[in-house]
Amino acid sequence: MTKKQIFITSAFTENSVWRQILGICSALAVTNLMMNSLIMGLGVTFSLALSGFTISLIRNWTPRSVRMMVQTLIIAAYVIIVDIFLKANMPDISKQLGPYVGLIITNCILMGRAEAFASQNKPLDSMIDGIGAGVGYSLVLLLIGFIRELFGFGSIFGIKVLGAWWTPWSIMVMAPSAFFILAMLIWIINIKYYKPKG
Amino acid sequence: MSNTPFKETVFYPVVFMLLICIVFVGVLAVMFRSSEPKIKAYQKDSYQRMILELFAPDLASLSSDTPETILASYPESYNSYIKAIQLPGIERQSFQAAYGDSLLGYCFDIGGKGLWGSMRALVALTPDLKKMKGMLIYDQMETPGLGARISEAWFLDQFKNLPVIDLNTGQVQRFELIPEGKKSESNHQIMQVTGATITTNSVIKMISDEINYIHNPSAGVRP
Repeated sequence: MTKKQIFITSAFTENSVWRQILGICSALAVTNLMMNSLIMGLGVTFSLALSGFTISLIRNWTPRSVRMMVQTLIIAAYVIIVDIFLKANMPDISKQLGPYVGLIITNCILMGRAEAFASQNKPLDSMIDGIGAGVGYSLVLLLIGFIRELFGFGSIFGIKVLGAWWTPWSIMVMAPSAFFILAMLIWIINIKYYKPKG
Repeated sequence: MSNTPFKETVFYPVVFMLLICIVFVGVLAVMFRSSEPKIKAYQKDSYQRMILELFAPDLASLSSDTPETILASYPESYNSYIKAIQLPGIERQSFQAAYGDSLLGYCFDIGGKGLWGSMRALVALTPDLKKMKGMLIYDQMETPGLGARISEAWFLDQFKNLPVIDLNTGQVQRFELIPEGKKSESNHQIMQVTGATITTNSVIKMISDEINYIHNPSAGVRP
């Protein structure tokens, strides 16, 4: 596969959320605001890209019996690096991102890509795969975040777009709304782009 | 002697894991240590700015400056007007704001329990400790988009110039929660955050407990 194909497959054709149903917890938890979704998406993309690169780099020396521990350690290390960097250099963003950094470590997309791709492919390809998976994940989060913030708060990225006449839908602020939106999104995409097997 | 390559022995995974741990923990330790002074300096700055912000309107009314210019002239303005103090019996970080000889009030670092963890706030009181000048929540672990909205300006603005002592009974004011968006009809009604009743109640409880403690250090809650 070419690098472009790796990216497109990872981001769209085999998207982690709508195709592999991974990363659902965070897709439900953080999508009530678009800014939260964007920050989470950027953090996951960065961690996916660098952890994929590193796991691939040491894949030939990693013993099979401890590979998952090694992958978790590397992922956690990169997430902590992101956290420390933001705290020291972008404290305002770090303050907004606060609770989401920890959630990146538990995101199953990272382990999924590490196990399915990075542990079997070259470092650069693994990095592109990580960026692709991160972009695909971010797009889903932003789409859900757009619907939830618009109807739940009447705003987009914190900017009011619906006037005082708009009555906010409280259900959109709560996690259950993400269940419905995500389910509908997966349903629509599957019907439109993927043919049923058999 | 066995001819088994080292990579296939039981020791290899242990040694490999150990090396990986040393490398990554080392990188994290170096990165954290090198960033620590910047992180601590930022935390100290933002903490002091919050104290200044609580008293900025009062300072502006006594000087020719606006609240914005007072905040913009940090740290000089902080050093001129705010002083860390220790009030007798009160085991809380305490500060006093004064403009010349005129005492503006006290600021206390208070804490309580939220829905998911502890929360901490700075509360500014008048010199007689009976009225709140304002409050800022600087640490909380509530649900983003729901309980975390207690840090938003519309919620915190409700505590500006809020009597915390009931003048009739002399006891700590009992607050009543009203739905978000409903207009408050008396100064003891607080608009709650929609979908975060437990968090709003936790804020009210934190304020009540801590005001009670500040007024009765020997009988109130302990730090």
